[in-house]
Amino acid sequence: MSTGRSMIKAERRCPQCGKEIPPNEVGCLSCAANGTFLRYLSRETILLLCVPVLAALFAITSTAARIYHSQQRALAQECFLRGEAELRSGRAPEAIKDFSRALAYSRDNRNYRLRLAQALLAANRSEEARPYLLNLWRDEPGNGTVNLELARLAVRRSESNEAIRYFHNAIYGVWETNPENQRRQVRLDFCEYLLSRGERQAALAALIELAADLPKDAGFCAHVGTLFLKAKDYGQALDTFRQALNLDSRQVTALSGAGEASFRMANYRDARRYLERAVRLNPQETTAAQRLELTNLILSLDPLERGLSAQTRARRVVFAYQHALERMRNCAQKRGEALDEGQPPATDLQTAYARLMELGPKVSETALRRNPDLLTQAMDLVFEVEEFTARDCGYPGGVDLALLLIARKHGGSE
Amino acid sequence: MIRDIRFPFLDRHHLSEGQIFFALTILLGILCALASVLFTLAIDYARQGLFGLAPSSLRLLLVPALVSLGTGYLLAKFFPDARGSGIPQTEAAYHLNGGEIPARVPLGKFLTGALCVGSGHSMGREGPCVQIGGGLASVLGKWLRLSPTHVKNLVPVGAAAALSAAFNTPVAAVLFALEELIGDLNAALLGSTVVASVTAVIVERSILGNEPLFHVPEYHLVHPAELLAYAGLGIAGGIISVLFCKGLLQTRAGFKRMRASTVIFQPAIGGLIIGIILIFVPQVMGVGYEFVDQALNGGLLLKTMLLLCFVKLAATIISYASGNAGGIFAPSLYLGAMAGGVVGVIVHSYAPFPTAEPGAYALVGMGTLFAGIIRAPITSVFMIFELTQDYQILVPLMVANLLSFVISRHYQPTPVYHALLEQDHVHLPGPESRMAAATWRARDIMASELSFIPQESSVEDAWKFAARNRSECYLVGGRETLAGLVIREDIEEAIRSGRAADSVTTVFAEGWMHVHPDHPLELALNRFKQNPGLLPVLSRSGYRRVEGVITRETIMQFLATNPQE
Repeated sequence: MSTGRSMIKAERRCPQCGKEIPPNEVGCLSCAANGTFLRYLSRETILLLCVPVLAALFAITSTAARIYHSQQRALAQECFLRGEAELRSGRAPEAIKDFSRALAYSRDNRNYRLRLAQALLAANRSEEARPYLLNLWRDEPGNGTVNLELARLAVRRSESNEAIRYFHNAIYGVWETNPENQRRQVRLDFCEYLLSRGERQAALAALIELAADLPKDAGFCAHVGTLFLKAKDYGQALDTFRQALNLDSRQVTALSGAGEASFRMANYRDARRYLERAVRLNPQETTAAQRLELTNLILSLDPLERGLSAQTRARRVVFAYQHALERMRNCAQKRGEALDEGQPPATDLQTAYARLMELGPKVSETALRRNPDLLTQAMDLVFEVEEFTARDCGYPGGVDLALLLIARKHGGSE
Repeated sequence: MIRDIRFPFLDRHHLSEGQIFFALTILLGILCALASVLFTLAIDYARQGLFGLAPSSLRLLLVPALVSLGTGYLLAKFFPDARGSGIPQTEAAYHLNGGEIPARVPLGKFLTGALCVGSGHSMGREGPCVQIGGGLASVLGKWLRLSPTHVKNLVPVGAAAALSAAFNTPVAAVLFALEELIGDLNAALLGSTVVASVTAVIVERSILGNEPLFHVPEYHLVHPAELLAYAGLGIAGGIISVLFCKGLLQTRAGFKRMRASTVIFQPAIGGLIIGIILIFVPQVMGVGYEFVDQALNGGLLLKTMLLLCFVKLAATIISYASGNAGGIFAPSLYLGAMAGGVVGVIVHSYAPFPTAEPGAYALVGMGTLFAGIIRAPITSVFMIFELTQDYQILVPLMVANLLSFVISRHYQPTPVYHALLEQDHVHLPGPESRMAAATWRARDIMASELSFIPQESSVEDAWKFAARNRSECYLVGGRETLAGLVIREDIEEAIRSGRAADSVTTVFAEGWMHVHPDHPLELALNRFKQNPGLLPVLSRSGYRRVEGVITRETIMQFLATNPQE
């Protein structure tokens, strides 16, 4: 019934079910809670109930995530170990798959990433390995292992400046285990790289730095000595090999190396001593055996060796003279030059031959025993012929090589 | 009686609708983050459980098909709204159903999404997370008996929170909710979405840790000429986007043309094809972010990235079009990373100027394809910016994204989410009409020609006036001084009860509503519903000055001249 002042009807109906929404309610009670008990609770109560429900859900989710992550880590470790085994067996492609799986399960693990990169490098997939290494480097620019791998990669890519930079980073970088040994190993790699590029002075500088702090490891010392040999610093090489032999007197590499260094310094007696021991310890050491053969030849042919009787000395000179003459004839034949004694000499070879022939009648054991000057004159001519033929007719072997080396020793060449 | 359950403490602390909405925003941030984390874990558990460490070819072939057979049944019988991405469905719920999402939708999406993506389908988890988040928000809003407007507003809030937790980019999630779901970057919901998004990302990081989703390379624009290369990437991205969208829509249309009885089996058909693909290219399995990470860090070769780009494109189209549950958000990023990586390697190898590493192009490529496929250009820029946290990337990113967006829009005018809805006979309002609707004001639907019953009139005079003007309600006073409203029914009642000589002011209606000319259309219509057939539009500068009235006729006239509304 009207009072004359009717209210505007604020009737609200639910858009879904069409039922009237009670004036004291904001939403449709029928639809809102779908008939659940929630319709009987105030909104504040529901909000408050949400808090423990969410807390419980948070706990469940956190636990599930923790379990999941620990499972992921376990799976990753399993794949990683399998990859390690594959890599050790030289099966790099299989190792790559395993390391990739490990990384998929634990993608933030730097060690897995590094091993994957190393496996890729081992499989000659350096272009794929590089980004992994660069990313690792970005994360840890001072990491020794990463820098070393990047250096090796730069070596493969012929990027020498990059290689040298990464080698330096690796030498002064952080190593998690056994840093001193690791750094030494990097220096060794670095020296080898420099020597392979022919940068002898730089390599020598690095080697001297390395030699200043050698470990008590005969093998390592022998390796360093070998590098000194490659760098042609025979004195340092001999010292280093001796250090190795002090640590292990039966170290074959050191014995061979010391023999070679002594040989290069024309200390043939010392060389023979080292080489004989090396060959005795390891008869398979063919290089040392060949070197020993040559050393023995040199020592048996050298007429200027101290302590020889006059007769022996004269006999050696005659042998050397005759051998030089033969060598000259062979050389002339090889070059197609005639050594006609009736013609005046026109070439260097013919001139030298003429001088040999001129001296020939005087070179006898008796004459040489009597005249020491003749001995010197004959040997000078022999040395000259050997040097000359070595230059013009190819490096000699056997007796000629021995004579050449004797010549160089006494001529002060090497 | 159950209704009497009350907590005295709470009864003393009644919260307003706004306060409840705000509290719910925070709670939704937590809940959606937990749901996203659980969904991510569920996908990984499903994948591990179904494939193990090193799956055989037979397993790769059969798992997607068999699982899809099961999910196909569930999707057809119980969760039809859970097919596909979930983003279009959430948009439709927001724009067309007042944010109404039944509780079975997030539940079904969680279950079928985890199984589909976990069984190797080339689909993403972000779309499902958006639908799960939006669904949870809608359900909670209804449980708390919020007003329809607030329930509707909660949907993008929940979606933003879930996306924020799923993709670990809170700013991009907020922008995505505003740009894609609401379609208005100036939406009043900015504050709520930010709160929910930040809450969600805090919860997500507290559970999963602070590790980023991708290991993003350092970005540098090495040479200004690189912008040309990025433009090239934008063009390539646009073309691939068009290929993807067209391919997806046509393949889906093909599946839709199949007999209705095959709906249950269609996902399994897709699963079988995916299984065959997985035997040869297992890298396209599931979300595939680990390969995106590799592309970003230059860990993939040119030919690998090229292969993955096209195989992923085909695999995603098949997975989605056959009706499985999963999104295209992640695949678009995957495609972008591969396409960008390819362009990056080519540019890095052959450009006559110094360039950044290919990973930088892969990064920009992700945004480019996202802009081209998803058509959310602002989100795409900020998403990549948020991943890199590097200001330098903005200009190349904008160049590439803009080109990709323009090319994609030219050849595929309807955005892919809207086109997918159109295939389901749902037509969302386009951005233009949404913007227009947002700009309609009360002044646009009012009539300015007014007639008043003078304030000094009697009820009888008012009755005579009413006899000349058929209406439910009349203005009393003048244009400059509105005195009140009278309802025809009340005038009749007063006449019948013999009060014809009384002043018209004695039958004034009480509690009538009004609007101002700048009030939005939606508010004006809501208030109109509460007035009996007439809503005065009053000036803001003179409270009693009448600018116009809104009546049924003016509304009909407005609709006649603006049919799209």
